[in-house]
Amino acid sequence: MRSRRGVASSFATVVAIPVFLVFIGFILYFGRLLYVRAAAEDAAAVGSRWAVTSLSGTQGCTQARQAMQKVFDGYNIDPSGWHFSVNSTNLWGRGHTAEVVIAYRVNQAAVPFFGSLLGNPSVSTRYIVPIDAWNNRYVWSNC
Amino acid sequence: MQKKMMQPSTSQQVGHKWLQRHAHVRARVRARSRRGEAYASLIVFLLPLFIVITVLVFNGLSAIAAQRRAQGLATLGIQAGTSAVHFDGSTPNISPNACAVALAAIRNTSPNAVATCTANSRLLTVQVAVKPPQLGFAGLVVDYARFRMSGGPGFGINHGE
Repeated sequence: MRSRRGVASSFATVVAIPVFLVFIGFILYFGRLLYVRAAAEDAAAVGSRWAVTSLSGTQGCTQARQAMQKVFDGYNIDPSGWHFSVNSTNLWGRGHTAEVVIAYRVNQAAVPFFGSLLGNPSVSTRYIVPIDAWNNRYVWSNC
Repeated sequence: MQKKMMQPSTSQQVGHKWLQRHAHVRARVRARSRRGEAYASLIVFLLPLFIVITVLVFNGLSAIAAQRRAQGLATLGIQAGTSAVHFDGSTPNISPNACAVALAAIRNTSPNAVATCTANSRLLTVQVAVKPPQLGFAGLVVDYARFRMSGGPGFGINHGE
């Protein structure tokens, strides 16, 4: 009788644990993904603002990268997976627009079930920002 | 007043005696009911709980990401709109077309965002709403992440020089 009770409870545990792991895996997988997404949005917004309020394209790119790097540091995310790009749609200068793109491949290998099922997704965000009409006043240089 | 005791029927008495004699059958019945309880508690209580927690985590984080997007777009709109200024003497004022400039900048980056704008000569206000991807049903879902931002003609601009 005891062994039957044991079998019943262990059978229920064997059913419950995978179900529980699937939910935990889902939370971890999409939690990490959306956390990185929020960080990317934040960094891209800050970076685009710093880029277009600079005096020149070269300076804009440099200070945008620095600002974005600091935002990622604040989110405590490994910066090695990030890819930034700051480009002007034409020559850098008043009346043109700059495009700030951030992409990040999220390493989900350690996430149970969903990590191996869905792989490592890439998060990207893009802002197209008018270059400031008042700060950019020196020789325009391409970014 | 004496209460009248309910007497078990003949068939119940027979069944009871039979179960007393066959203890192993009783044990099996009890084990089955326990297994049933374990399944029932898993399916009725734990499974919906896990589903609700999972949906709330997903929807919450998705709304936070959308909120960041709305914030970034509002900043972008204000930055673009407040750079459309005209000068009365040495005082910069927001131009009448500032709202159009702000909304065009927001639309250029995110065509799906819902943006509204109001302006006077001293203040530009932009509100951006972004629809986050959501799971589940009403009560668990955030329809829109909204962000409202205002800026004057001096917002981030070095036109004093």
